[in-house]
Amino acid sequence: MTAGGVSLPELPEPAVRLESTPIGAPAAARGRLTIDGTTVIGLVGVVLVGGLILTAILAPFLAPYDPRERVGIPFQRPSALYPLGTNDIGQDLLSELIYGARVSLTVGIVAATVALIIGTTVGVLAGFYRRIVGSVLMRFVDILLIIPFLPLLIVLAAYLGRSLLNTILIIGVLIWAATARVIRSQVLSLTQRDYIRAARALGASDARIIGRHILPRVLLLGISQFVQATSGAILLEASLSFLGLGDPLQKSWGSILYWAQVRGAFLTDAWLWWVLPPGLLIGAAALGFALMGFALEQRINPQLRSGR
Amino acid sequence: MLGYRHGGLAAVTAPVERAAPVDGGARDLVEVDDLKVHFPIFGSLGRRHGDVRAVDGVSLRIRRGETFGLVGESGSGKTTLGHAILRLVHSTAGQIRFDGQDVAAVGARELRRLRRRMQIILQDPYGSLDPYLRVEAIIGEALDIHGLDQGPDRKPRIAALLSLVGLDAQYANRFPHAFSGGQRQRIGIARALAVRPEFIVCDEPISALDVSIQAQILNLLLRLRSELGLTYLFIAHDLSVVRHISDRVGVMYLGTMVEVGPAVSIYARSGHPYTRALLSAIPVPNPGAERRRRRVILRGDIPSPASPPPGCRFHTRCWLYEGLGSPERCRTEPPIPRTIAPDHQVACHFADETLASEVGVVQSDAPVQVGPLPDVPMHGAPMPGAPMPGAPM
Repeated sequence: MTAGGVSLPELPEPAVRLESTPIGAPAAARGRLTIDGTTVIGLVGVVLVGGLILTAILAPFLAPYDPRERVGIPFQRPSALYPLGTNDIGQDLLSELIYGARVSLTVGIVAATVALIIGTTVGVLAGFYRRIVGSVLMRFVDILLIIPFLPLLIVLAAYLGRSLLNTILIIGVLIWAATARVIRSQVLSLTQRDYIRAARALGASDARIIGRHILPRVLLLGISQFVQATSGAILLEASLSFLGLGDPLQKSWGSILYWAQVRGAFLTDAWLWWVLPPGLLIGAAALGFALMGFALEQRINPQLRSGR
Repeated sequence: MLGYRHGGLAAVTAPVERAAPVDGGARDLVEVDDLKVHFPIFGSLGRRHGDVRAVDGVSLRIRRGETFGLVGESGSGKTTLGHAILRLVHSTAGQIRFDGQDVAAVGARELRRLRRRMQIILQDPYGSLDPYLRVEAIIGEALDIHGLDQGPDRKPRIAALLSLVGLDAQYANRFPHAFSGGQRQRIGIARALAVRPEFIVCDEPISALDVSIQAQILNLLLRLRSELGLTYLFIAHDLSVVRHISDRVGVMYLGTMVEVGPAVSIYARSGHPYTRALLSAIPVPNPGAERRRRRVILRGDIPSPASPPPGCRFHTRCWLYEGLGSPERCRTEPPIPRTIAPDHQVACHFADETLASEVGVVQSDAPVQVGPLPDVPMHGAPMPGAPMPGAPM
């Protein structure tokens, strides 16, 4: 209530003050806007991810050439015309990179959505029906978490064929296990709350209890898991494409690296403009989402919210 | 039965038609026979190590319109018993009948119908309300589940319920965190009343509240009982609270009922050493009597319900057992309840010796106040009988 250093007289307080902030979250979760380490980390993530998303959306305006067109002589060094040179068939590398953001981000986000849906469903069911359904589902989750990831990914990708949709689905159905675990543990704690017991005593069906009291409470947690899953999915997509198991028709950062590898760019000077930029972008995307996810989780997960 | 009338609220809180009781109302509302609720203990390899016998062979009757007080220490199984009656936990053996219907056996649809007739008020007012829902949604949920007062009736009905429990109807759009413990408990009571129940399990409804608020909530419950014709199972861990509200009292120890009887009889001539010990712990509001009060302090904690002592479960902590020179009977033979006064049963081999003892007997020159405590109207709440906002006249 101070304006320009002059403190104004306080308005008389009403006898009973029940003005609540119309936000349902408990006090701590609402979070005052304080700039702490977590916030800075989160903001760095937002800037990285935001920049990449903007690049992906504005690709037609940012890219100097159509990445599918042969616009120059193959294997050119960077020049004014081709800022990052050209690839083995004379396509502009910078344009490829800019358009590649679309594929990498799409795969990352859609695959993470698939993972979020499966993971939340499994987590909620396993937490709510913890006896038989829960045991069976969680043993399955354990198995998924134990299996070495990349080999399974490669086998599946090779078996199902190379297409963008397959890439997304394969990644999505492999990375939901972690989400399911986190969601389940939250549901386990929620189902012990007294208000769930009260709802049961009122005759609420399982569907109602899940839909009204449980799902909305795990959604925030799901979002932080989703963001982290996106980071993982982007890395997996890059791995698959680098191994030549991505969609051959799509230009992603991983497939740029694949062709760089195939054409020996790793062994020549060309690594500087052919290998390094996509590598950095993959790193930036994965890091951006990971940082955002970390900051979100710090805010949301009560177990991690320390010293508050 | 008075039905759900309060002030000018008859229109919104009119009693629902009830099915006629099976045998003309003579039947007790709640009948529990030899109820057992055991929780399995699983070891690391999924092997069953044994059971926690939370409730181990309890029988009781709750009559229509009466308040049955259930007392016992933590871990005596009283809450589990209350939850089992509402089928919030599954019973292992024995029978629970509500108005003649076997609660444990009814199907999902019938159970929902039953749950309209019996409700629960939970102990912790901070945990029993979903913090993310507004009061309106919390109370409204009860209505929605059973399709009661939908559409244009919903808002006035919620307002009427809030008024009924002494809260201002305008609080309906607040979140639980805006309320004090006592106010939250009132919201919990309103939620239980929303479905117009006949029977309410009050699971230590005032234990978590400030002493100054306890009397308010207790009096609210008393008022609702007489206005709405409710039957209560009132669970508490000390006898002094129960005395104000109960017609009959049951005392539980380690999953068994050790004494049941009319409240007056229990307080005047208890026949069980455990009940006597509980009674002796009640302070007497009279310095002279307080000085003469013989207290028995129970040593140690209640034994593990996973491996209860053989014979009489109380013998490990019983003052009378010691006083009688540790009779073998107490260690080997579980006592069978026997009647020591009209409607008053005790499960103790030495009930007569207990009756002869002076432990826990209130010796006061002046009669102890047993009537209802003075009702302190809540700050900002409408006085009872004042016109209710939002209620159609």
